[in-house]
Amino acid sequence: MSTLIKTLDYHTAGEPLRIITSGLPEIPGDSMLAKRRYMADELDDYRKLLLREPRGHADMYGAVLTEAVSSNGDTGVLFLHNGGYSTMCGHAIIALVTAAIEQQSFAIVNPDAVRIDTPAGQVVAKAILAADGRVQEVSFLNVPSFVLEPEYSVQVDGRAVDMTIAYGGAFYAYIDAGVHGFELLPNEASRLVAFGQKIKTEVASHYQIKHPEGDADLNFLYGCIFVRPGEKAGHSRNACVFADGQLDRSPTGSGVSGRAAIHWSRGELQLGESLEIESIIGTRFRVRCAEATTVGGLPAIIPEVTGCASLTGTHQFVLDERDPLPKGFLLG
Amino acid sequence: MQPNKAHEFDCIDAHTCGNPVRLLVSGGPELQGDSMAAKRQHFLRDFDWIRTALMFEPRGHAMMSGSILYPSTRVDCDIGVLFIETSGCLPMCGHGTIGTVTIAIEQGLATPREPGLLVLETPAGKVEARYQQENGKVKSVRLTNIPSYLHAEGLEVDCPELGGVLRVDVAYGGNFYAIVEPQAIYQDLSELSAGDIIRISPLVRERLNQRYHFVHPQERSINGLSHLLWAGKAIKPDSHARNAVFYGDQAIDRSPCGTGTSARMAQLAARGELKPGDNFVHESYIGSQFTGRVEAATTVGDYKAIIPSIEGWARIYGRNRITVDPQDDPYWQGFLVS
Repeated sequence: MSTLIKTLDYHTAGEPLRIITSGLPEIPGDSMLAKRRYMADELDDYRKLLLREPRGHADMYGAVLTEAVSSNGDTGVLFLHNGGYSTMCGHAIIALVTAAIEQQSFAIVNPDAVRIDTPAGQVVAKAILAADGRVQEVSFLNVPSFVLEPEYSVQVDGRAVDMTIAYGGAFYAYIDAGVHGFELLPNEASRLVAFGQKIKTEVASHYQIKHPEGDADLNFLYGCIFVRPGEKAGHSRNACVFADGQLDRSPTGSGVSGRAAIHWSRGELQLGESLEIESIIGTRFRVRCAEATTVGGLPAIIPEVTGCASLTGTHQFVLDERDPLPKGFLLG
Repeated sequence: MQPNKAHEFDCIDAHTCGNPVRLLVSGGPELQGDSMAAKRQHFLRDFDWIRTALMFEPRGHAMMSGSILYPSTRVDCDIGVLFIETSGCLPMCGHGTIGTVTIAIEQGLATPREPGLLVLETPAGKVEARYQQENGKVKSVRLTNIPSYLHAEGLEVDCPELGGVLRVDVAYGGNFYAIVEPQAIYQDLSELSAGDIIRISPLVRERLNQRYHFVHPQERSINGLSHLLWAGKAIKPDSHARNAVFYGDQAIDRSPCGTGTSARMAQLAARGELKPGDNFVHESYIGSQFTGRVEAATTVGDYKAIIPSIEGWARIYGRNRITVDPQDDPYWQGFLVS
């Protein structure tokens, strides 16, 4: 393993993104899903080293820049979390585009259409620049998002948990927070994670998730999103428990995409309209219902997600050859 | 006092047996005061934003801790150190000292008058750190702790979460520790997940503090049970015992815990299981080890006590330039989710 790895660290609406800019071996594969499989099989120790304690923590998130796999892509990206590899991540896209413009972490042809190849497909983003040239906010058109299962229910601890299952780059179960006694405040973090993990396990063992036209690698429930009315002017607040019990500090880019698909499917959101959705710490993303489309016969939308990111640091990580924790650790 | 412009902080990060130590190398504030204790007060009054920016999310996390070096104000110390944590600025921190000494020696940030001995001025006073070097790197650091003693034996506390009554000893090693040893309703540390420890420990601590009073015989301002030490069987063949220390609202020490190991050795010495000169290798929840030693016997008030020392290691893992820009980032002061 290389012992010097450089990263650019950002946060998008409170959620960290550690962008690995150098120090990893090349990742072969002619699609981002193939690269994702390669990294999971051959280079997973790097994910553990950089995301887990002591260099990271249970809620760290990462991105690896790769060559683009499409003819017009500016970059490819893999998404890393505490349990493995995501297929699409909105907060990461926002930070990646900010880093590309402010720190030149990858070359872009056109700041109005930054083309990023992700395992879920190509995502096109645009940066809105402030007068001083810094990035004010980033919008991206997400992959087609749709409702897979309008009404589903599982039993957790002897009671029914009703949900809607939708896709916004990854599959989520959307659950009413109030019904289960949550206000979605930071001091509920550990209870939310425990409850979300139980729900996810139940859904995974009773429901076979299938993307109607995508790769089989997309067919899994990534997280649970608890939803309730928002504070102040926001439309709503949601909290996403994903991967191996991570709690998103941001409103979750792929999550709010699924939210927009749900509200559109119910006639509560029209084409061109937007929602402001806040996170468990009160940060916001805007999601707009940009276009209507279909996915394998299911009605779908192309959502546009907007948010902003800030640089938190530039890092050079080393692994001391005497360090007895070369893969880091999590308490579990 | 708040910044109105972008700040950059150069840090060297290490971990002591799993616990992070972020040493601020440049960007730290100038502090007034004729001692590190006085400088600590100045820091807390005017520069606490630096602590929260570097320790809290998104730049740090719930377990982050660190330090800042200053010239010593005392002629008998080599260098001054200020400790910073998510909870505030501890006057003294064992794992922080081991990490700080390792970084300072390996990176040439401090010059000891006597090779192998770095004398630190901490806000709690003078601390002598003896270190061993190997190929230019620091292999381990040994600290001598304050007199530690067994305060109470066989205290009973309800623990319906484990299905009955727990019996615990309480010992002092810089903090008061309730030591939970294997018994009928708690067979071993391997039975508890990290989530169990975080869920059960604060309840047991609260019940103990409601039922008993824990006051240091020589310093009444040191009172109250703050830590729980769940004792268990060693996993590594060269460890004597394993433990998980719970403290704060929801923290489990990643290291074997210096003050906890001191308290545990005081308990074992009071029982006659350790005597001056004996080593005690203590293993953490994640398997990292400290080597404790009973340096001498002493007394604390009317209690028999020991002077313990703790030897541990730290390894550097990164160099980081942390940026904090109040104009750009609404979370420049950081946040915690708990």
